Amino acid sequence: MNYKRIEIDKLVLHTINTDIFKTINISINFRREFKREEITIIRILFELMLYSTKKYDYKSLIEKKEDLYNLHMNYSFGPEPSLYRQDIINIKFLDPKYSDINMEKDGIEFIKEILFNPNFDNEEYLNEVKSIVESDLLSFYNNKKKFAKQELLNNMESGNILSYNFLGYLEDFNSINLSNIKSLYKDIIEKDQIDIVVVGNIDNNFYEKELKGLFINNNRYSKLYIPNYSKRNETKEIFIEDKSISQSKLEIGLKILNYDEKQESVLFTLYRLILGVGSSSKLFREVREKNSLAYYSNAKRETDSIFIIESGIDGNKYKQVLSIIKEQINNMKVITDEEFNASKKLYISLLKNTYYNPTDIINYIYPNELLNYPRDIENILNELNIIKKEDIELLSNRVFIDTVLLYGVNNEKN
Amino acid sequence: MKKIEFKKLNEFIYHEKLDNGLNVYLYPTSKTNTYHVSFFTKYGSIYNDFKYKYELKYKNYPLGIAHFLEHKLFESEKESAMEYFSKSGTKSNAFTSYNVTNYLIEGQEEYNDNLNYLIDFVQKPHLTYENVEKEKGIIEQEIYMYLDDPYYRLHEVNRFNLVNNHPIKYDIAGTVEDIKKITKEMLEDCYYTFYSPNNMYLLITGNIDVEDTIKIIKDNQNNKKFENKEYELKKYIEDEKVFKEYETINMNVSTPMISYGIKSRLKTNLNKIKQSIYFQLIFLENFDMISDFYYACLKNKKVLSPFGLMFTDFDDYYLAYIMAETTVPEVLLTDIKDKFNSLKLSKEYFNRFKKKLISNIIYYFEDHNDVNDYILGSIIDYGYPCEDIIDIYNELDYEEFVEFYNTLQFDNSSSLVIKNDRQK
Repeated sequence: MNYKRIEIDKLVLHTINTDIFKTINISINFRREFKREEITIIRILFELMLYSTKKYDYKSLIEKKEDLYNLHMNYSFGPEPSLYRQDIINIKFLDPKYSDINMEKDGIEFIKEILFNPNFDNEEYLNEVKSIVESDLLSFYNNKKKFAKQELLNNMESGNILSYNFLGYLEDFNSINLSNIKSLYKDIIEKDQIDIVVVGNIDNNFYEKELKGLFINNNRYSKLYIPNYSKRNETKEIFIEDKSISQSKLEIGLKILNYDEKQESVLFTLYRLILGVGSSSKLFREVREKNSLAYYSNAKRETDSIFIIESGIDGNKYKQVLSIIKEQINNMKVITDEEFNASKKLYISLLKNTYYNPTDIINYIYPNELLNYPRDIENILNELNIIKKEDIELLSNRVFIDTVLLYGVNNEKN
Repeated sequence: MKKIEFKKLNEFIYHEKLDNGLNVYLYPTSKTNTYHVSFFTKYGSIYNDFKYKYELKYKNYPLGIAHFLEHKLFESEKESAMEYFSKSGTKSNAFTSYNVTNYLIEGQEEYNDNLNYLIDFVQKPHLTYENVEKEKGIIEQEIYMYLDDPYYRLHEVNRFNLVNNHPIKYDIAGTVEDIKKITKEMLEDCYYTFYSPNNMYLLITGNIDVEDTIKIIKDNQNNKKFENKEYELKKYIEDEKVFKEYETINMNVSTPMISYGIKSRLKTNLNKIKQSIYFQLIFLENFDMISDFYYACLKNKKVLSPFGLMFTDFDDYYLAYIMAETTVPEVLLTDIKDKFNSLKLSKEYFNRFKKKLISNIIYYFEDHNDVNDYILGSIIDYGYPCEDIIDIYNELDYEEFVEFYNTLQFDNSSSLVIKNDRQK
């Protein structure tokens, strides 16, 4: 695997040359300042870009992808809250040797068409895309776990980026029209930081030549938004009643005091792995296996210094489950050698696996570009060798429960 | 071991059937640093009524028992299997479907030990009265979790209403009432019937050595004695008509949802893979996001987003489900029903679809985990790894497709609406 970082005008091209895949994977990343009022319109804009172009209408665009041996293309947005928002167009097509057409040339022509020849003149298409995004927003409310998590974040970080619904807002729909979409598109193409990551058996010169002169006046951003908490809040407890659901959703939001991302991100990952990731974690063993109180109980990172414990439970056993979870958080102050070694091995195995999956490679390469202190997998592996279990125990002294939310039925709250 | 070539893909797998009946399939590749082991049995949620060959009467077991057994096998006397694997950073999991239960591990280290451990824990159950009871609380929460998911319920209830007698009608996990009936003795009966080597497969893909691997497996199996029991599954007589034509259920959903299910009996002797492709093709061309019908529904605001399409098959029946979120459920259901009077089968779509199928297989072979899924699915659904799949795709023929279509009937349907009564 051969990584190259090439600056073309202000665009950065990252290429990973490897012959282990049968596909070429391209990720086009746009980054700009995060604004609550832009969440919905940016989402609709990108969906519209992938819906049709001036050359291909809705139907012929789908046919074109199928003709290109089922070229995959989708849009995704920022994996985590930060001061800068991130919008991504992901493309995957067959390595040219597996097709009877000039896949690479046709593929890149198709991408250029999507990027630079969007169809922002069709009112009907705009309404159709709005309908699809609306459906996605409504289905969010059907997923009770996601809904409960969003309610937790609204309460924990009211008014901050973390409390925003990244899917968008229905109340913004009426103000979105082709005219403001066009202006925003121009702004994005001219001002956003753009990074393109290409993974596969590729010729760097081909991509350098094809991308030259396409994007010129882009800003470069690097600073991530890292919330830092210097004082411990009193734990808030919130109950949202819904008698129509079969299982109550317990969401617990935790924060780390005075968290130092540069020094502690590896440590934090190990902490989470021991507490609530996988079948050897404390939560899995105690909440599920020993006490049969839940099917899942895990700890997920929300952003640096914030993580969430999620569990689907019988609401009438809320106090018992919460007490066991609190006990396990407390038990992080004393971890066994076995727990420590198992979490390290799992982390190492996840890191080493990165090299063998194109999406993992992209997800690893690009965020690194945004850190003030980029590091490669080897650095993290070295860091893992130095960390002692006492370091995790020390970190655990700074972890506190900020908010507990129970969505569903509960007769114990008083 | 026998080397099998995936024609026109330049990919190879190795196969051997051991003396005890266990089938071993290996796919070595240097393009990964991990190994993926699947140890699976031809036993799933639809195997509730069976007898041994020498018995006269079929025995009936509670729904959800195969899934219950899957949960229980992870427990051993000393520690849980999951804990053992996690010591080497190895991921472990299991799943139960209608016709298979699979135990799988994915890791980079301790290959020999982990492979032996996986085989051993699956082949040596640790069932006690206490641990069987304990598991019921966990499975109960798993069942409740799915009950709150309207998309899951849409499919589950629609399938229940399409089928009359075949156990595919029921949820894989059973109901909370079903699992309460399950006992240690019942689990043992099912285990000793379906977990014998001649009913099982070991499929390993990834960075492995073929000779070393088969030696580890043979050494492991040579030390064990098994009783391969020959069982007989009950045959169900399924009526061509659906169980229930219409149902509405009330859930806390933000938009009403519908599922229109079709039950079709196949009356051809075509290759099963071709049948399955042709059947799905009819629905994809007419209801997928490229279809005129979907586009008209979107334009007229009858749907909010593309239809969800799902398929199931059992015996000689095929089921298809067309699902959508809509503000006009009854109007949309009528439109879908009417659409079956004017289905479109174009040669152009057919040829593009063939191209898509071929490229999808190449996509599969990029990742050894996907190869594992593909081979497992092929063995369970078609009885072999389908190494000739590209030839089968190339043989797909438009005239044959039209002929197949003409043998089908689409008038057996069941409609389901999920809506929130509180929304008026």
